[in-house]
Amino acid sequence: MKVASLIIGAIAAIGIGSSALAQQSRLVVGQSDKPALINPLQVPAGGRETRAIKRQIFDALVVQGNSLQPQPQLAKSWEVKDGTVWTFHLRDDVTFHNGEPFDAEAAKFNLDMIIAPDSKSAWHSQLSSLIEKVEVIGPYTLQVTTFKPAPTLLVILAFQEMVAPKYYMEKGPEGFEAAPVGTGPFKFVSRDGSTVTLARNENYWGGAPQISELVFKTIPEVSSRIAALKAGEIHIADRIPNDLTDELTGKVKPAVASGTRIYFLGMNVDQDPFKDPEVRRAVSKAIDRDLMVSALYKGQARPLNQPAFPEMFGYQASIEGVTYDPEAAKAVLSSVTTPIRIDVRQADLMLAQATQGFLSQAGLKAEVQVVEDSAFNDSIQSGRSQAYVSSWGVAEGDLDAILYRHFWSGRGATSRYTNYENPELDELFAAARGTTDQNERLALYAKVIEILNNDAPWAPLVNPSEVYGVSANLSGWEPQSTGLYFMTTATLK
Amino acid sequence: MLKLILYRFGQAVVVLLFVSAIVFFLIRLTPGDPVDIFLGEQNVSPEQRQAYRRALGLDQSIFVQYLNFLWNAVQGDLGQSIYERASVSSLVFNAFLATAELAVVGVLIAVAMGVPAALVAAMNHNRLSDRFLSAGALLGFSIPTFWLGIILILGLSVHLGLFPTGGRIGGDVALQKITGFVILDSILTGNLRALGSGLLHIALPALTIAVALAASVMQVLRGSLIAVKEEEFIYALRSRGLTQDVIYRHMLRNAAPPTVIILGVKLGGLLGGAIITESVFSWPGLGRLIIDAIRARDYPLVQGGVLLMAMAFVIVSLITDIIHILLDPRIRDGREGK
Repeated sequence: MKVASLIIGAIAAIGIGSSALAQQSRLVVGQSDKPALINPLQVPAGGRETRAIKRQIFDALVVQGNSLQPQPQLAKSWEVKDGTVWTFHLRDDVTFHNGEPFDAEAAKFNLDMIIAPDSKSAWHSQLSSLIEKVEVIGPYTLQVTTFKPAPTLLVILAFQEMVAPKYYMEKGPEGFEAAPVGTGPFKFVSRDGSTVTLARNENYWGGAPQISELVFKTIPEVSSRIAALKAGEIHIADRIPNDLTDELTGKVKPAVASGTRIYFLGMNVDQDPFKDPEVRRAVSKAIDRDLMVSALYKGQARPLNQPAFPEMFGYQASIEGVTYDPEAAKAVLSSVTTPIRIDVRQADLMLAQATQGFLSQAGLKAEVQVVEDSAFNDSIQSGRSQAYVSSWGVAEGDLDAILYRHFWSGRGATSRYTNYENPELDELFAAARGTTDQNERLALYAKVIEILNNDAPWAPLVNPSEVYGVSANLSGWEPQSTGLYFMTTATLK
Repeated sequence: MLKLILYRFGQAVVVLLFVSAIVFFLIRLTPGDPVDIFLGEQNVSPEQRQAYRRALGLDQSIFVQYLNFLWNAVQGDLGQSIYERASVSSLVFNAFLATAELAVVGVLIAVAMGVPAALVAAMNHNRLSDRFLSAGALLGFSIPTFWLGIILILGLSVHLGLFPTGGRIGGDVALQKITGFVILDSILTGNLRALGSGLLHIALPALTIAVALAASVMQVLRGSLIAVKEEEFIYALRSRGLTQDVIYRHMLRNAAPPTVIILGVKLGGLLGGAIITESVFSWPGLGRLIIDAIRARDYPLVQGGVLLMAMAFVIVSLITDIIHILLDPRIRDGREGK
């Protein structure tokens, strides 16, 4: 009995000791959700977590920086002629991990795969409705012709990671998923369930990373994720909720990036009492967003005075927008007798309760109803909810994304949401889509924001920041608002 | 004996049929469309959406889908997971192995803690040590697993650095897969580092499970032992001069049946996935797999997973009964039970 416990103790010591040594240039990221498919050409494409992993293995023609505007990546520069002919000048010093060269042919292969009618890519609908044809006009010159002017093309291209063509055709989608090959700073090594292991790409065109091994683990339970960070098992933990940031002390600290989610109160314009825009505007005025930011988010959020945040294209920096005016709100709302039920998902409950509090103070009879995630989506998508608190992620960084999905009258039966429709808005939306002149678009969007603030189908609430937990040993890394991890300059002490 | 097994087998088939039907229809009646969840927040055209539904077989009538499912299941094909793009059987089986390993080690620790405690308590019936141990059992019962798991992690992993905070094996440890059980495989391949890592990783989650289980074992066994030790045959054995150790053996054997039954029931439940423990320790088990599958409305995976859970429960039930029979010769010989 005693001998056995001694042996077990020794084995444990060996286990702990050797893992401490291996940490030298091995960086581990703990994510809140498991990755879906890594193959960029297949669904399910997953969310932020999967994208973070994909962007280590793959590059795209362009990439979004913290401003959310596309910057050069595999494409050095580009120009647009007649609004519909885009010419991309590609880098000539890039090779895929398996040695295949990256050139205009490779880029064309990728885009063709996405717009092909039988494509299984997540972006097929959006890209195939924009792109007419893709042509190679030089070894490193790619030409993309769109049906009509497509101002959102560049941003969408930031999401299309490039795969190695010959390798992809050889292996097929399943083989590729098992061993993906791209041009990125890290190469795929293995995937065990939800843990993905990557190794440094010595020949990366952007400079080889300092870290030799990069591992992405999934730790869905947030307290376990923080515990793993504090124990030194992971060096970055994502999605730390605001009420737990105080836990990040000692050998770990918080790192904050501005967020890309807009939280709002949606009001069903087809149901009482929200048929009256006066009531909707008053509801918006009843909410103290600054107090929400300080009380619910400890200051790590931005109050929104319009349905857009500063990095979004279309955001109006100089307007007053929606303001907090409890007296004006009370004047209108105290005579409203219809009770209000605010539907919300469990995750956003606190925000909904705060909203309900403000509305009650202004004289409305409001209550909050928690609805299971899928049932909630069903209800809002079919336009049945009288009022709801929800959020929309605008990774594209363009007002177009919100208009297309929530306010344009052609958005379809599965996107009813607030049932809002406005022909004037439709015209502005179409016009902004129809030109690549950003100045023109900004002017159009100024009018759109004015209409949306006036008609108030949404009462915009807050734009929370994303908090990451970071090991004190990590330097050379800053979190991005896109949720991507730029790791080439990261080092571990 | 053979008749019993055949009878129970028939029972099992009926149970599984019922379970499969209930799960199948229930998950499809819940709001939420797997295709929507699958596609996430992407802006997808209705045509593409319809194409996916067709590819997943979701555009047919629900009864046709059920018959297809049954037909395939009987041939051993539980389908493809919608979200994970892998066969349901392989996903469920691998997850089951992880859960089984955790459950077995948990039960072993529980027995190692509970049996001696029960013995000491029973032999010192109504004295201080008995009261102390009984109170301990009550505490073990009442502690919420979620809290216990996190406290163990905070204390033993974060502050003392003795154990890892989660997962099944260290990320930088390579282990060849033979049986799918980490501990068994590392012994079979002589991989000491993997064995060490595996044992360290399973220690805390198994302990978390074991605490409540040990409390049950202790309470039930203590009760049976107290009853047995007053039996006349014990006095008879002692008067014949047998040592205390041998007497304990006889006592335990006679007191065991209710405890074995309880352990069987709890083990069956654990094999369904100790969801909370698996979540806290990021243990890649069946509970976590099924919960994720339900959230994602991954119909085939939910069906396959729940079916396996039901099967595991039925088999463990059967084995428990067999052990009970072996322990109690009176049932084996067909005589009346106590």
